[in-house]
Amino acid sequence: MAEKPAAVRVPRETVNDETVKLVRWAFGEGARVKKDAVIAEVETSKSVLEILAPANGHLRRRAQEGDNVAVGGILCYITASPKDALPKEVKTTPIGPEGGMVIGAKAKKLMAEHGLSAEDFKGKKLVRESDVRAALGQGEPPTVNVKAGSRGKQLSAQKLAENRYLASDENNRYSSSVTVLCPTKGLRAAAKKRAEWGGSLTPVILSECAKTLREFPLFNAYYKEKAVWTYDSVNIGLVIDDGRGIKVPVIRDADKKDIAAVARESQDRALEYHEDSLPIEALQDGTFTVTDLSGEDVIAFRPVINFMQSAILGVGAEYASGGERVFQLNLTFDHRLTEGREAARFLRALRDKLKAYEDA
Amino acid sequence: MKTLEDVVANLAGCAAGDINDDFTLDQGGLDTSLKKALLIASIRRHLQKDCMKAAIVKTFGELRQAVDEASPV
Repeated sequence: MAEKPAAVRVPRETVNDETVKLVRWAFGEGARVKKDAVIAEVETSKSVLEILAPANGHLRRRAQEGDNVAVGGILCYITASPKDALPKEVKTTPIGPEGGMVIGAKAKKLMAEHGLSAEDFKGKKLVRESDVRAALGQGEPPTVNVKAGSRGKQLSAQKLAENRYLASDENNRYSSSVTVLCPTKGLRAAAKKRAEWGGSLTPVILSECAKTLREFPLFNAYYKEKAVWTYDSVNIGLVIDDGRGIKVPVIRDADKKDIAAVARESQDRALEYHEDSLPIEALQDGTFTVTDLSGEDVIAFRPVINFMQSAILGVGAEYASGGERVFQLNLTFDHRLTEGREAARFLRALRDKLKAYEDA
Repeated sequence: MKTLEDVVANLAGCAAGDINDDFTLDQGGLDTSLKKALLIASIRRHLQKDCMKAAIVKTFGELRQAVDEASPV
């Protein structure tokens, strides 16, 4: 049971944005909740996160469904009783012999915007704007140990948050990658014949990749606490980014859908992205991700594995090699679950499925 | 109700009045796979036509014909 009100904040480590949208409360105001129960869902640019209760107690909401809440901001408190007094959002006390705290006006405004309280600066007598920015990961660029002739520029809060997100999951620390070449002649010819693919190779790659994942479940899985957890479904996330920020809408049960259905769904998701109307459900429950940089003329790259997944496929641009047109299939995978030889087997199986369209 | 000109103009970032049968889709930037996907999905949503051929036509005139021949959603 929470003895004093426990603040529940938008997690800094797992969020890819400056703010997140509070999608849903799972319990009413004052409801009794158990430690680790899902109490809310928040939407980030990449996915929907579940917020867990840090202790047994009563839920005391501080944000409404639909609100945008700053990363690090307070969503709610967990209190011992439903009527316990809550801390003021920003506390200031005059400096004095007891060692109180003074908060600068700019700092106070920033703290209010980001849901920080004086508790976050415990031990300081004076809180300046720079202290708050440092706490938010927006500190001044480093001024020491830099090379002469170089200039520092602070990264955006969004990029810093993304970096925290990337560092929050260890799967990339232990990742490796493999690449195979795939000829495109047969695929292009098949795409011309089959209008239902919408003139793109992406749906056939997504569809065949989903089917291949059924044969290689370790790539449709994640590592947690010395165990491999394989997903029951194959839900493929497709990275979209045309300058409005990265989103990864998910095609559920992609292994059970035909190519035309995958094409339609990915087109509809792209339009929803374009119109900023992607439903929350479309961003949830991805089990594997495909990212396609062929439109950027990128031949080879090493994509980063998404949270709670074990692998990601990167699709490169076509180029000429050995007298034929080819493109690269790049797989980054969590080396704690499997090894390069198995990853190569996965990619060869996928390539063989794609090559088979030459004869179709 | 949106017209096909409205749909193309919205994605190409120009005025519907600028669209005629000779308008080439690549001049409106509709030659990338993402833009083609958006075009097909927009036609499906706004004109209730399932026109996958929109991805392979070159001009607005060809697109109009493909949409006319496409099945309703």
